[in-house]
Amino acid sequence: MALEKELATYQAKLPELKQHEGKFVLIHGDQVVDTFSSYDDALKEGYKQFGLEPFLVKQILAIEPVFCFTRPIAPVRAS
Amino acid sequence: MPHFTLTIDAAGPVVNAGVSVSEGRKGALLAQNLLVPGMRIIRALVDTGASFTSIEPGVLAALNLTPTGTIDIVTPSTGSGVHTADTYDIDFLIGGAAASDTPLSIPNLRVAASELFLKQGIHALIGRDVLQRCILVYNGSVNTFSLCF
Repeated sequence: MALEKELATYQAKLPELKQHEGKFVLIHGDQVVDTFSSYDDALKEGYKQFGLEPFLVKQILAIEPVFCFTRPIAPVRAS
Repeated sequence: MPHFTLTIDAAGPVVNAGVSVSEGRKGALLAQNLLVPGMRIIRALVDTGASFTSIEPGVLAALNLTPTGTIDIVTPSTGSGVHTADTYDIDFLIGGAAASDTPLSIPNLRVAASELFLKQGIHALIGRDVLQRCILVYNGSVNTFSLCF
């Protein structure tokens, strides 16, 4: 799955990242690059540093939100 | 306040929307002397039952996008379990019926990849993450809806 490594890094580092709850973390492979106040800033830095290589931008939250859809859809993950 | 009014069609409150690569990705493509895919025009249903905007993966693939995140989703088609979808950053444009209508432009919008829309004649669901930027008026008595933003 895409971003598998970055998501594993996020889970492993979450105890430390929780002090920045609400901010957006930029992760590349097993490297936590930095945290940012906005999604846009984290994204901008991701493209600046890593170009078209995979990177993860994720809001740091102790409890993951679940997004609801009343219409049937099929969530997709890239291989 | 910019706004536009459209007719509710058989599929419901549907708009034509433009989907293109975000500025950051555009810069990364140009830095590697790669072509920047042009904007794709899609049909998107305004769906107050969707908490997040979602797009058919074929549209995202046509733009050669790669995911930059994930979200957890619950939906009737996946039962009571939580499922994960990739998210992508795009530039999103919602236009009115007339060329003179000011479009709603949302740069760096985070959208989820989800299937099953095409059978319903649409490519995307515009969720409440976008609607929170707007006033939506659904006037069923005259078969129109309006978006103010």
